[in-house]
Order: sequence, then C-alpha cells, then structure tokens
Amino acid sequence: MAPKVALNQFRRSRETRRSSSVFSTIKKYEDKDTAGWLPEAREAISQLEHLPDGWDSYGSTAVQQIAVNNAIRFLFGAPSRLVPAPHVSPTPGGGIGLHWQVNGRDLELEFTTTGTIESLKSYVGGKSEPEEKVIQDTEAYALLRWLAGIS
Amino acid sequence: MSREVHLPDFQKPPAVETFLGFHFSSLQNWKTPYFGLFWQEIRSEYPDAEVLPPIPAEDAFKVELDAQRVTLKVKGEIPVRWWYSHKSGTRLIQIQNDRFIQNWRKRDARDDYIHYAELKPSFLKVWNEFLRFLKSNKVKSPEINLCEIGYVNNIDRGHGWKNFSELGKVMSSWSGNTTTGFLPPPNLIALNTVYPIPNRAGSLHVSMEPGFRQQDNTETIQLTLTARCRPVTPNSRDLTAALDLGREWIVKGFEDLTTQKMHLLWGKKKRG
Repeated sequence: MAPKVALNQFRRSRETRRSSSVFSTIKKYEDKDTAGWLPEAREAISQLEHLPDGWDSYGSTAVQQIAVNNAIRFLFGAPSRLVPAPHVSPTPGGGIGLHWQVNGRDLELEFTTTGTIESLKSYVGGKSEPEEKVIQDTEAYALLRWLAGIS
Repeated sequence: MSREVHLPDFQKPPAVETFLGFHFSSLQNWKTPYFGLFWQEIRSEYPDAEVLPPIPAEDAFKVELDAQRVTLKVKGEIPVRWWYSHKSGTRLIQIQNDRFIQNWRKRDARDDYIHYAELKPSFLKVWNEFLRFLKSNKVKSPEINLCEIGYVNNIDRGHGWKNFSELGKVMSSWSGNTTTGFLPPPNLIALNTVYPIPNRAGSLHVSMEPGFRQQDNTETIQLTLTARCRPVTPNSRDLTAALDLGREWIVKGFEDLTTQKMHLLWGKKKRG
C-alpha cells in the first residue's frame, strides 16, 4: 500500500506563517537547532540569582545579574544541539559556571561579574596541559564545537 | 471628545511591531506584472521591493496524497507577495492578491513608538493609491471581508520577570495554580487565546510565546494581539470603523491581560 502523506501535518508552523507580522520573528525553543535541555538550563541559571551573599559559607558574593544574563544569552546563541546539558554552578566571585565533560573532553566556562567569559579547556586524563583564556562568545561557541568533536 | 481619550496609553510600550491591513477576495484580472507597475507608482517613498511566497489564507487548501506518484499542476498566476520597504526603514507595505498590509517596526531604542493615529493615515494613503492603480488598470475594486490590526510586544527577561514561575507578575490572566501541587513550576509557557468581539463584529487573537531575539539572544515573551474585524459594509467609513474597533480591543485587551505592575514599568499615562 502506498504511504499516506499528509502535507498539512505541521499545523503549528502553518499558523505562524499565516501571521501578517514580518519584523519581529523570535527564535523559538522548539526550533530545530535548539537543544531540548535549554529551558531547564535557563531555569537552573536563573535560580542561582536568588543565592544570598555568603552562600557557600566562605564569604562568596551573591550571583550577579550580569553573569546570569550573559550565561543565558550565551546558551541561546550557542549551537546547543551539539552538546548535552551543562552542569550549572555559582562561582565564588558572583559569576556563573557552566561545565561539560564529553568524550574525554572537558570544558568550563565562567561568566564573570565584569562581563567576560573565562574558559578552561582540557582533556580528561591530562593528555595535554589545560588551556585557560578570556574569550568572546564566538570563541566559546567554537569551544562547544571542539567539545562535540567537530573541530 | 475623542474616543482616544478613553483608551489606555503608555509612555514606553513594549510594542516592537504593529500591522494593519485588509483581507479581500482574490482580485479579478490581477496579473503578476502589476506588482512591479504599482511599485513604480510608490517607488519614491518605497525604494526597495522583495518578492516572497504569499501568506496562506485561513481556508488555504489542504492536500492529502495517497498515491506513490503525483503530479501537481498550477494553472494561471503563481501566487506571490510583494514587500515594498519605506525609505524610513521602519515601514513596509505587503501586497498579495487577497491582502494589503502595512507593517511598522521599532528597530531599536532610538526609534520612537509611532501611534495608531499616525500609522492609520499613512496606511490609508497607500491603500487609496492602490485603489487608484487598480481602477486605472481595470481591475475590479477589492471586496474587503476582514480588517486586521495587530501589535507585537516583546517583554524581555529582566523587565518584570526572570523566569516562567513569575509569569503571573506579567500576565494577570495567568495564576499558575494547580489542584494538588504535584507539578513543579513550568520551564516554559505558551498561550493561545481567542476572544469574541460582541455582535459578531470579529475576534481578538492573543498569543504568548517564549523565545529569544535573533539579534542579541535576549530571552523574551512575545505577546501578540491581533484583532480581525468584519466591516459592516465595504465603504471607507465602515472600513475605518472596523480598524478602530480592532485597535480599541487590542489596547484595552492588552491593558486587561497585563498586570498593573507592568503598566507602571511601561509608564501608563493617567486618563484625562
């Protein structure tokens, strides 16, 4: 029997295309290049903003909004489908840390309170010296591709 | 006294785009080259043009294929939509053989919000030029069946909300309550609602979608209100009245759907 093909099964996208709006298209969570873990990661980062000063009992400062915003913006612009969800943590200086370990590659990104991104890239098992750098968003995206093994 | 006085107004509304337009039965005798000829008429004001696929109609055709091999033949004109961009960079006219729409956008913080009172005359001016063009080319005047007006609002993260458990701080219609408390706060919320406008005059469509802006990856809640109103008659006074009614429902609906806390952030003006 011949396969049945419904041309109008993508009702949702059809609805979107029906709109007369043209200028203000936003990238949706369900877009094909967006990872399914993104809302959960965003929520985890956002929750850290509620930590008070001294949250680690060592006098660390509260997580700052600039770090939260930059970490979330970074993930929204990143090729998130290439990598699994990061481990999200506060850093002692009030920043946000994202950590991945994929196929023997280890990457830590810290979004600091001064608006910079600090990266620490290494191979698990010490195959080479860890590389520590202050980087831009685009370089951090490249590091995610490295983590995924495609560069 | 103008009815404008009774409508809510904001100093810093979150609107990033508005559109107003007419939907009509497909134009008879309309030919594809007319898009280019009409462009010549308005080119001094609208120097750029683009050709795109049309926006599908509400009752766009549906096709189901059961055969392994099918040939589809399209007879006559291939439907297209033309965009004519205004020299200001903030306005656009969209024409296809069953729609005529004007869009306005706020590109960034430097662009002032343009009110309906200014956008309606510019829309009607080009519409009247279009009608003259149709007449001079012996194309029957369109039979308008729907007047559409829409406002797209971006409510960015950090402006009244930080995560979706706080949506109730933005939208008064969202309580987030559950019956047993089993569910955790949601990670994402999207809403679609349709409200009837009394006397079968039309409907107000409200959609709320989470996402992030392409240009700066800022997370935002996009709240779009679109009113589609049926004109009582196709005469110009009733067309304008239908647009005005739609606009009134959007503005009052926006005020009703959003919280007073957000109204303060957007600088709601006191009613005179």
